[in-house]
Amino acid sequence: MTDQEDTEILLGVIDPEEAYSAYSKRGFKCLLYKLGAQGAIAFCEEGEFREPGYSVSVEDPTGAGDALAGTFASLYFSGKGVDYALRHAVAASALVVTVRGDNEITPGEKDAEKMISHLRGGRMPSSPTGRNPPGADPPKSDL
Amino acid sequence: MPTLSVTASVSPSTITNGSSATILAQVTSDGQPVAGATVDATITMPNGTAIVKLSPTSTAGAYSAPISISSMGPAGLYTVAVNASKAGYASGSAVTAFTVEMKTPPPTPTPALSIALSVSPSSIANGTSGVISASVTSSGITLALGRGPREAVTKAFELAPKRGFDTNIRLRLWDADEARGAIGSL
Repeated sequence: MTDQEDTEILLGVIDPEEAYSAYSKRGFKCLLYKLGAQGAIAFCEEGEFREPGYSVSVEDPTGAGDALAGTFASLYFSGKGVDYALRHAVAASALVVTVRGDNEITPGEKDAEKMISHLRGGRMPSSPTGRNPPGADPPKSDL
Repeated sequence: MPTLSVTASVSPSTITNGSSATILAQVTSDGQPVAGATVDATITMPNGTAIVKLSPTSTAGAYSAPISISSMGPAGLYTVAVNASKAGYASGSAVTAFTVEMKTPPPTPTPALSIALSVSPSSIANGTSGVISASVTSSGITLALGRGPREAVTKAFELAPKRGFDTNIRLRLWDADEARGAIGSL
């Protein structure tokens, strides 16, 4: 589990695919690449999965990466699919940033589930143009 | 003009947030209880001040007011300045304090290692067998904390069949070269 900044320090590259290729050569089975508000990408033996971030009001970003990594690791290791683990991980990290502090809310699998169903359609657009203009149709969800 | 003299206390002197206490004041002049005084307490909390008016009790010269600390009330020392005044007397005051303690202890820090156990299959017939497996997840922050934590992570990674690692490089804890070396060798 890593992000752009750490990948640059460790490997000298920033491209997620290059990072995965380097890590998989070292025997890693799965790379979770965190993209901050834009969500995350999971490169695993099972394939590549992208999950865009949610558009939520950010009170405090502390703990978002930990929620993402922790949720992903626990679900992935418990045998849930990569896709499932990633979807819940991104939802959990979106929940954490809505609260000040990093320990005040520790969303579990069920909370992530609720977030996914409540905010279906409230995703960040995957294009780099930023947030949706107010009143625009929410982007279609692939869930 | 006679002067009011005040003694004040808070009972109990230590409370947890979410519970209540009583401010007590005794107002006298020349050793005699004084009824009919106006008695206020200014409470200075860690996050601001509040003024509470004390009411006379059935005991002559004694005044009291209940106070309750919300469950969100900050822990710490609360000082109470009690002031008594009455026409024909010079006013008097006294200061006391009480302590608010956290009802629930602060959350324990995130463990350096997260260990998850799973059993597969989750139900087995007697005479057959299943497998208990452990996964260990740690992070670059743990490695940066010192030799002990680093050795613990290394040992756990040797033992666990499933290993997760969040690079989490914090350049305030170590420099890029140290991070590269430690994460690389892990």
